[in-house]
Amino acid sequence: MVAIASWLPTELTQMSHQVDRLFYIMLGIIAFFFVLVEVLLITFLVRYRRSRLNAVGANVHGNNKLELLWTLVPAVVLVFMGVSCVKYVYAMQTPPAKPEVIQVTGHMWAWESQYPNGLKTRDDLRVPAGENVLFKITSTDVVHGFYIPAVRIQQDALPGRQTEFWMKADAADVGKVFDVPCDQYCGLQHSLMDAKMTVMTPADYERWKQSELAKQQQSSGQ
Amino acid sequence: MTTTAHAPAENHHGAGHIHVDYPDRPVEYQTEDGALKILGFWVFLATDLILFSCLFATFIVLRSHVDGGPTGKELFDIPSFVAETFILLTSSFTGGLATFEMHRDKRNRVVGWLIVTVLLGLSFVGLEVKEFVHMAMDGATLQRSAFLSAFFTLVGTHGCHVSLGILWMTGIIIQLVRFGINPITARKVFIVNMYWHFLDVVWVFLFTVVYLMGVM
Amino acid sequence: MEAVLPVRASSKSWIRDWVLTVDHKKIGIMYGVTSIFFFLVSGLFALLVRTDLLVPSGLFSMQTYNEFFTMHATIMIFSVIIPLLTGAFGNYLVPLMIGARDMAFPRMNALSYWLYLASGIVLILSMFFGMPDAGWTAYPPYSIQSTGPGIDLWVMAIHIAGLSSILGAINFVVTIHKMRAPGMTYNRMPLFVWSMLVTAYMQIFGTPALAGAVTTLLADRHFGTVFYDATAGGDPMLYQHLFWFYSHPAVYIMILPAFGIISEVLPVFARKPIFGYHAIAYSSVAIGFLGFFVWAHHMFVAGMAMSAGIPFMISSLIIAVPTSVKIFNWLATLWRGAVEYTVPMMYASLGFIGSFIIGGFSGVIVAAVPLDMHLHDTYFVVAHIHYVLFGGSVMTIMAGLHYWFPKVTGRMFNERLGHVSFWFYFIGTQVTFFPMHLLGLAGMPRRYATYAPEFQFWNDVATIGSYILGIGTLIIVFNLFYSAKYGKKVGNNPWRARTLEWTVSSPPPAHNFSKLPVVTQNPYQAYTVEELEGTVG
Repeated sequence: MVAIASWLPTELTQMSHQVDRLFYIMLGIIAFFFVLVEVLLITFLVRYRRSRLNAVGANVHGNNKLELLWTLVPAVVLVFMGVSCVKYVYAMQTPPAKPEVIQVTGHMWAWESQYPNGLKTRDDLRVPAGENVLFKITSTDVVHGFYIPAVRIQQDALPGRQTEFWMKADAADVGKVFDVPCDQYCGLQHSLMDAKMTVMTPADYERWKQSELAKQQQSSGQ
Repeated sequence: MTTTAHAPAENHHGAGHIHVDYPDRPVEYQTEDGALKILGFWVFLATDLILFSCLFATFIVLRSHVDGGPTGKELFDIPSFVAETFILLTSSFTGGLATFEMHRDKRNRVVGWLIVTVLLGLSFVGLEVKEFVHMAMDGATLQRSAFLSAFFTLVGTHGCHVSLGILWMTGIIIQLVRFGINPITARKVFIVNMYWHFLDVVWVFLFTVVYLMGVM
Repeated sequence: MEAVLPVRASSKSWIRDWVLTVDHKKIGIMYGVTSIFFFLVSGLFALLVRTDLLVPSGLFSMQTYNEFFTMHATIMIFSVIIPLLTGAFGNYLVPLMIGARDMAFPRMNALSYWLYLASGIVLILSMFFGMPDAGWTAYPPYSIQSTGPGIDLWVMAIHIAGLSSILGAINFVVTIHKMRAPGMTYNRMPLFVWSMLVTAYMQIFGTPALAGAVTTLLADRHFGTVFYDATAGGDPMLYQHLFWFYSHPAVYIMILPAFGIISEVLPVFARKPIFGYHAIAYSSVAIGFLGFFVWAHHMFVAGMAMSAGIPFMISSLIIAVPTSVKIFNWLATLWRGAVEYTVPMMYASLGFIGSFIIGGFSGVIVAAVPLDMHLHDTYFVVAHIHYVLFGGSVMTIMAGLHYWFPKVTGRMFNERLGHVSFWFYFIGTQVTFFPMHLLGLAGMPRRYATYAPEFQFWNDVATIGSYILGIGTLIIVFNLFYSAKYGKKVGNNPWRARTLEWTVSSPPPAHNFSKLPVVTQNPYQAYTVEELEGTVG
């Protein structure tokens, strides 16, 4: 029996914890208004159905106080939501000092990652837990979407441009593997373009980078 | 057929009579249909303005993307684009004179001024084609860089509009000669002049944004 | 004014009656029948897309899948929803509702229709010459690299549809400003006319940007320009700006006329004046205006700085204010009403309001930049647009089709079948589109021909829902076409509605009004018991 995915996936970073909390707050406000509207709708449809006792509707054309109320309340609520998003935007946008920079390049149809020591891998992304990682993202052909659902962030990979975002995986998730799908339509094998991201301890990560690089140099030297 | 001040006799729909709804208005507005069509054309000009705005936006975004190729400063020939500007502005003025004479019911003068306008338009297009050919000979084609793609598309779209206006105006001159000034031909003269003035306004922006800012 | 109306066909020949017609009602009917045909074609593509997704590996080839979702969206937007709402409902109703004998430019109106038909045919043709597979958004560079004439025909179809749309919009603007019956001030216009006026302005100010976007695409494909070629200084993001400058307003073009239809149907069957006439009319204007300042919310992750999305986030949230003003006014219209559960009322109340608000609320979620970082281009967005365009626009189209059906045909549809179709539609909509929210939250990207096994359950539920919608559609189409011929005959005003189209015979005479009506108040006035229980109709 395969698991059924129905809700937000693992929260891999502190940022994703915070963004999910924002989501739940907004969802709560929305759910309140959703229930309000649906309940009013169904109540009015049932309560005020036409019958012999209720043959015509009331002669009411409007009410300015009510108009004001249901203009201002949604406006205040929506602006509140917008304003409370702003700090998250800046937090997500601003990279921390001295991150581990991984160059990510989209190809039809694979993600190539290049690490600071020059190591290049294909569809095999590794990040050290507890350390800041900055992805610098571009593409060699068409537009792709570099998306890590567990991190709750994506940026498009565009030819001729560089986009970026940063993450810091929680130490608790060491050893786990996460999907890195392409989510900007890029042609035939769009749905197969899916790298795997492995979270490692910093020590393992360094060791892996060195040994992979050595392996690659060896095989290309032959 | 009632009160129009002109000698209409026939119109090109062949129906003989033109029903005049508003005899007190200028001749191009005397029929309800004419008034509606003029308003409709205003709205059309709004859509054309948006099209040019998009091409302007594209040009402004890409004007520095020369990709190592020639820049505006190297390409634009000042006497040539100043001459184009002068010719087009003059043609807008002569087009205005045609409308003026139309309201005085002087058919031959209307035809005369429209012919002058068409000739000025033709020389504008001629100069522009010459400019484009020169640039292309120097290797500055629309394939060379994003800047040049945007340049040729923007200026070329304006040039195509002017060329279309020349054909259109020529057709109206023929109708004027055949049918004289009546509410229908007058409306056509009025609308083609709206179009012509509009292209002039667009050119003023082209002159400023593309050429002047290009050579500065 | 009569003198300028072209001579009407008196011959019984079919060509004279339909092909050469410039009568806004016949043109409206042709728009309607043509777009219902395209609705079936595009709906079939949707069912194929859903069928493919029954299993994680996909039932068809990936190329086929990519072509199918491209065709589904393109046809649905350009050949169904926009022409059905503006071309069919707008054309048929606006002159009747404002007390005019026809549109301002009847021949241009016919031209709009024939251009629309041509665009649809070109789109269908494109399927046979290497079906377009770039999605309805056709982002470069992929759309430039994709080979075969399919995409070129696609661009041509968009061009022709855009021209048709612009000509139609010019016609509406001039008609509504200039041809209203004596006494019909702007503040006495039916709310559907208000929404059509705003829609027409949006088409005028938006459509040329689309023309610019696809023309530059074509030039890049064939004339060697490098607008979107990053290796020669081009910029693929530029296309996205031009495209969304039209295509976000296009969403409002697809929903504002629907809002107008709701504002006509609700007060009639609540037997009550509409609540807040001015608020509803002016909120349409506000939506039309704000609609041009939100386009970059489609591009939060497309390469702009995240903080550059903040102004667009705020404007996208603000645009929910005029929308919620409408929702509350509609609810207040039902309050203390005398609601009749007719088929159009079911579609408009429970069907439209009940579903559309889900699309509105999910729109608030994706408008928030931090949340869109996760949800962009996932199934959450697919759920959102379908709750807006299906739960909103299509549900309302069904309300409108049933509501004006007796006016157009002079006959009544089968009400029992109508109610059955409603429940298929209402349940089908929720079963198909609600699970997509869950898939999106879980991180399933859109436009995926194949997917991970953990997404299968909700995909299968959605597919079952789409079959329910398919059956509902067949019932509706059968009911309407059958009843047009065999339905019970009705009088001028079977619904006891108040707008001017119900004062003339069903179907209306060729010139609409033998004497132009004189208008003294807006059409939303209180009902009396005698009026509703009288036998006049």
